[in-house]
Amino acid sequence: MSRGRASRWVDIGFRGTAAVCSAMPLVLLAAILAVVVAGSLPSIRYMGWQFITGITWNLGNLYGAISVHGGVRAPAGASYGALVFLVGTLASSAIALVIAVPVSVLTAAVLAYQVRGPLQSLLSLLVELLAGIPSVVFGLWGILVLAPWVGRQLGPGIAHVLGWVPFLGGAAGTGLGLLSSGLVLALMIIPIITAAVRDLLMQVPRLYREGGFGLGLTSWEVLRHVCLPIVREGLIGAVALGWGRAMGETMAVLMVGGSALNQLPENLYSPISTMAAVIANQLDSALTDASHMAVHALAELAALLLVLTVATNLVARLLVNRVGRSTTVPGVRV
Amino acid sequence: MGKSISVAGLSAWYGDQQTLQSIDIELKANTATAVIGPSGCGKSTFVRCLNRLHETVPGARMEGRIELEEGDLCRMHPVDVRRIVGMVFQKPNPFPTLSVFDNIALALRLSGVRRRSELAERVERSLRMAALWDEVKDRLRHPATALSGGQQQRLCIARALAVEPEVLLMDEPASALDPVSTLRIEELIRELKSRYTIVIVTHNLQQAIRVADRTAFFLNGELIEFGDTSEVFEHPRDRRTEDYISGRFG
Ligand SMILES: Nc1ncnc2c1ncn2[C@@H]1O[C@H](COP(=O)(O)OP(=O)(O)OP(=O)(O)O)[C@@H](O)[C@H]1O
Ligand SMILES: [Mg+2]
Repeated sequence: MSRGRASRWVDIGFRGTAAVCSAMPLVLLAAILAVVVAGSLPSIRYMGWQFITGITWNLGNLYGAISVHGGVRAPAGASYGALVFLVGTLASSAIALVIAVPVSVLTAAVLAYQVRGPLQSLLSLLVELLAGIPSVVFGLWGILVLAPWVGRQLGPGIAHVLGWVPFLGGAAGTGLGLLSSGLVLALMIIPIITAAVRDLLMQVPRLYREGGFGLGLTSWEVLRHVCLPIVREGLIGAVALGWGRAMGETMAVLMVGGSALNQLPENLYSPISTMAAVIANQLDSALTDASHMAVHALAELAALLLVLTVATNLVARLLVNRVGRSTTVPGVRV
Repeated sequence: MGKSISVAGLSAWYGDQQTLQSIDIELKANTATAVIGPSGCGKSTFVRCLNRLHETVPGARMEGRIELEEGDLCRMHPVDVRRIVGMVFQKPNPFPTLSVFDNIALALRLSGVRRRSELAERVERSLRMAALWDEVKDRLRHPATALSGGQQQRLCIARALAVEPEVLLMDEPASALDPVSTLRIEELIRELKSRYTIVIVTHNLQQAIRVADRTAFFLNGELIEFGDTSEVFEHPRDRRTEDYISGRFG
């Protein structure tokens, strides 16, 4: 009898703990969102929409008088226009995706279908190791190797061949800028997307691939027209995963982005700053702002970044659901 | 028109395990040949060698000669081989993301048929040959997976016929189907064999008798007996064939 009661208490305890743990992700997300939104309220009142349309980011005179503006206190001359960082984030992550998605899909197809045995394990291990490289190491490599190469060879090369295309012409400068950021980000998200897509492709029943081979389709045609459509849902999820990662990446783009301030990128080689990089870079000086407005502005930047990454994931989810409903695909998800 | 295939010294392996032991066989043009034998004797492996699908299995390899008028299949590019030697699988496997129409049109488009009218015409012709046209002509844009199992299998036959092969391999094409669908497929095979060389693997001996002109009996990776279907079933030359068809093992 007493044992029965004890085990009932254990069960209640277990269920309570499980409930708390399962609510954790939601609570955490809500808490973080609440903190950054609350932190950004003064900045929202101070800048309004100009926060995302303005390009001047100036913490103002941190040692001078504090002026009162529409009821909020800010250093004289302070202006927080984040458009440059918004564009830098979107452009660098877009370039990263354009490079990473095809490379990842092809690598995943090789890993899933072309190699086997020890070679397959070895290559898969390499991909996973690549995913584990700390981003500061990528950044260092970007500064020492990639950026000089982009500045001297790749940039001038692209500008020479494709210079007539808007945005692709122009001087490559030091190489620190949009293109290098996109390339470093691509390298960082390739392992993530590759691993996800490889797992998806391995789940495609052999029967369907053989149906394609049996008709005389080549390996590429089977991949393109049979396998990829079957895993389309999961593919969209994998791309969203990589995109979110690219937008949130901080250290490497801080190191190779060229730290643009108050200036939108003119071409593929212009210096940029991303939202994440600016937050990391400016927090130190922002903390010396006696009116705290600079910190509020960085909080608003964080809120914007959070909204953007959550929105990407939601849109991907929606796409996935719509696709999933319209056909009876035996889909496979990440 | 169908073409004859002569197979000489065909052996096949999965890893180090040999599953076909030097098979010699003549498959005559415009006839249906049934391949029978107990489970695991290498029937599927045999037909999968004929269109070089065997080698797509990791670790699998084959040896020997498979002569067609075009030459030795083993020396041709596998993609070319599979255009000449089509295949229908045991389980219906229409491409699940494509419509009925696109299931057939895909391979045609990829081999360069661009004109819509020509595509539509060839899709219709293949569906008619597979005795499916009347059932799906109003549903060409529906997903192929919305068809019944038997319809899906006939769609797979239509898909294979659309690329105009000369040989059609069928690995237990009716084993996943109900009796009515099975009879439709058998009827179809009897019609098609005037134009194609057909090799059909089956566990159903009555089916072999109903559709096949010639029958090959496999056991443990060896070709034990091969001859006219009536001969093989009525006067088998080998004891083991007799045991198998009289149901004493297998
Ligand atoms: N993918 C594979 N890997 C390893 N061994 C295989 C593979 N496929 C078949 N085998 C082996 O090869 C032998 C012949 O198989 P096969 O599929 O050709 O037989 P089958 O006559 O078609 O049998 P069933 O009537 O059951 O379809 C069997 O012993 C089987 O275990
Ligand atoms: Mg079989």
